[in-house]
Amino acid sequence: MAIAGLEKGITAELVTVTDAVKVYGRHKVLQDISLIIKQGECTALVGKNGSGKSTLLRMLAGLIRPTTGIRQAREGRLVTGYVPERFPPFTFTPWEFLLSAAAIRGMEKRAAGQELTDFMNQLGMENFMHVKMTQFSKGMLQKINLIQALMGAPDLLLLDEPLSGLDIKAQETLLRLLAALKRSGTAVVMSVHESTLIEQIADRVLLMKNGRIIKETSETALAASSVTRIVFRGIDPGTAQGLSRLSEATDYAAAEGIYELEVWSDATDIMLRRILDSGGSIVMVNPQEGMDILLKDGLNGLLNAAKGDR
Amino acid sequence: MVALARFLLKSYTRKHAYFAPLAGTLIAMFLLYSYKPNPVMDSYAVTSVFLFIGASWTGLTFLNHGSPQQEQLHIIHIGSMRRYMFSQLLAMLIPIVLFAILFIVYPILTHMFGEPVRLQQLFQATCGHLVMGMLGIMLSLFFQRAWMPNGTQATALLLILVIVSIGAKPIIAILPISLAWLHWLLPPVSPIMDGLLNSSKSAPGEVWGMIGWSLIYILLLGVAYMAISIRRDART
Repeated sequence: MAIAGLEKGITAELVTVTDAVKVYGRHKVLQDISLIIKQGECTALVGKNGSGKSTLLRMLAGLIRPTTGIRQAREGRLVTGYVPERFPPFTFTPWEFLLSAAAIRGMEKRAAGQELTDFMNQLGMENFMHVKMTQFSKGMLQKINLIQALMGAPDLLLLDEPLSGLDIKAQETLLRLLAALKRSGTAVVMSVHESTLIEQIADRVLLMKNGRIIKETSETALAASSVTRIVFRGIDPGTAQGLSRLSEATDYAAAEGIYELEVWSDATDIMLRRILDSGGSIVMVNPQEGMDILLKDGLNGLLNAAKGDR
Repeated sequence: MVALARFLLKSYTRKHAYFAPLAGTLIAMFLLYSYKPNPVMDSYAVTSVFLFIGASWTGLTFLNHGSPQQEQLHIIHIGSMRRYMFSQLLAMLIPIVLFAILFIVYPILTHMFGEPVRLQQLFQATCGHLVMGMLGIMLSLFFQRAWMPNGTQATALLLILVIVSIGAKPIIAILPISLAWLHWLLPPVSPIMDGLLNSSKSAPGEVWGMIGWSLIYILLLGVAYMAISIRRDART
């Protein structure tokens, strides 16, 4: 596979992954991954659960090694911020934990204290600075999770479901913070389920499936990266499988006479016509980015209208 | 590394995972000194074995006390797996030193010995305790969850190794002569215990030789651990 990003011309590569494969037991979690992460670029990883997004983030972070292939980081110090999907249940207050994390990173105590106070204020956590995190809700823990990664002006920021559990205000704040970091040269790689993040800060979207990057889309063509899920019935399994083998189809599943086909969104009409021509009956059409993400709010209305008609 | 070692120790103590090994080791020591007078080096030989057991137990609970995500964050914050592992080792040395001080000082302060402790005895006993503590820690490294995800199996195997190490002398004695080389593979717990027990009868060089061999053994284990672990993935 061509190295994603090469065609744009490399300016400041932070991490390069070349032909990486990750195997756990007999299961290939990542396959043939080639990727360049550059300064100031925001990459969104989309795909269903189990498609390999979190594993790829951990590989980019240097937490896991490729079974085969190469992961190479920029020479010299690369300050990395990483937001794991689940924040560990620390028996510390945010003040204790974040100051310790800063000290481990080698930050000066006073500067770290100032920075963490700013982040806590921005995320509305100023009153919980000295409260044990064992009493925190999921959203509050996610805010601390984000702050520990944002502190120390990271060169590379890796976010696994960063908006998970955040209220609307915190989501907006995070978007603002990420945009500012990106402007200052931080590379951001995030696995996301929310179209808002993709639309507002992503420069490219990598669609992952079964551990592979199956499509890369640049900022100008984000809508084209979306896929549509079509659920239909009324035709024999052989015909349905034949449709799934067409180039427009990206995924296929069948159960008890109901078929689910995922197609590139720009080929939805063609595929719908083919299903109807084959004698099939459409049960549902769901535009998404590989995992139930609606690309535009406007689509909600269309979808609801379609449901109403049925 | 000092900052991470400090954080790891705080995290460990706040989870109270240290309590069982600490209590077990203290109970053993108080039982030993439940009567007096006691012989100096014999008592120190026994408490050094207590420290070996306590250190391997403490080491295992320490290495397993954090979640995989905690380990991931620490590696990211400190910048590499190598520095993370050195920080862990540094943190584990602290309880060992504290245990060693307690085992050495307690019987002196409470007048448990029937004779005054000579400076050479004190020095040999201190080194013996520290070496035994480090041996315990080194063994626990290979049985942590990152290496053996099945905790029960890991604990059982560590216990077997601890028991065999302590009883190495009689165990090797009943094995065929062709297997006598096995004693070079086992942690040198039994020889140090013997060295401390017989320190008055044997030449001082013999005891120091044993301690020296133990330090080489610890170094080899440490190098092997680092060489293998540096290539491992963070827990997920």
